[in-house]
Amino acid sequence: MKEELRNLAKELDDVVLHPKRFIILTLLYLSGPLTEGELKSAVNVSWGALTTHLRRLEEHGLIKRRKWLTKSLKLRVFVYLTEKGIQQYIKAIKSLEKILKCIQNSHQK
Amino acid sequence: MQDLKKLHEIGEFALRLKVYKNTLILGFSLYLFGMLIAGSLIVVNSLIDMNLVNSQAALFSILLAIIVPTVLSVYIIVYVFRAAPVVSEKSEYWIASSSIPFAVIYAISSIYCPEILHVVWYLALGLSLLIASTLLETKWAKENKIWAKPYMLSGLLITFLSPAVIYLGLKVQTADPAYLATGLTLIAFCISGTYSIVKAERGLIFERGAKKPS
Repeated sequence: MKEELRNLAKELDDVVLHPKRFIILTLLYLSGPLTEGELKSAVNVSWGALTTHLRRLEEHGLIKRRKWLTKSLKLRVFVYLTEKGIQQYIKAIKSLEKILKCIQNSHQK
Repeated sequence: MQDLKKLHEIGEFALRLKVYKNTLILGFSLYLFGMLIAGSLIVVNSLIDMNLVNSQAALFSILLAIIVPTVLSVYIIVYVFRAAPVVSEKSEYWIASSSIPFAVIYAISSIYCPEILHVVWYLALGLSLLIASTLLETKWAKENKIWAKPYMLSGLLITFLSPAVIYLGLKVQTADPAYLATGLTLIAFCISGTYSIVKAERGLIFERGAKKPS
């Protein structure tokens, strides 16, 4: 059982499963491209922390940033999930499910 | 352990919420498109009937009444509802399904039966919805990205009723069969849109219908 848990734990993606980054990815998954300002107020982090998390996610190819014109004709940086980001996000949730089931089974035994 | 549980609960709910949103938007797109295009066509037709638009500009106005609502619907669905990842997927399929049936059916009927040109769009629309559903909706449903296929339902309803509409178009050479076709289209869109919204609601509430995306 321990061996199985260890193997499953290896599958966990620490980039995706950091609580704040997970919330960022969840918001992007649900609402599509969001500006950095929208993300900052939704996740409730400082600009510095947001930049660090976004950089980490971008380095792993999970998100991309692009400048787009808003309706008020201002240039804003929009953040969006890449295809890899979507796949990794879904995979992380499935891995979590497996781990939680495994832990539950070990408790029952 | 508690943190992992919380993350899992949030993630699990986000996956279901996404499918709910996709299904809702697909149903709502029929309402939006139906209302915009029918509204614009009625406005243009009434302007033509009141002689406020001259006969040379009539065709241009009708084309405008079709193109503007279509572009506006796509803009609202993709950007305002932020449905870009699903709706804009395989945009070439959308373009093919919405243009090929119209081009083929209009070409055939203008050569062999020009009397039904005023109602033939009804059959083309039905086929176009069926093609879009076969190319895109079926794939999304298999991947559990949506819980309903409203385009398939409206395509079937419209295609099933089109022989009657075309027959009436052949018999009655006024604008009335075209109004009938517009009314039937709106009813079909309303039934399919509501079906999609109900399925989305049920999928979100009842665990059994809420499969995770593969």
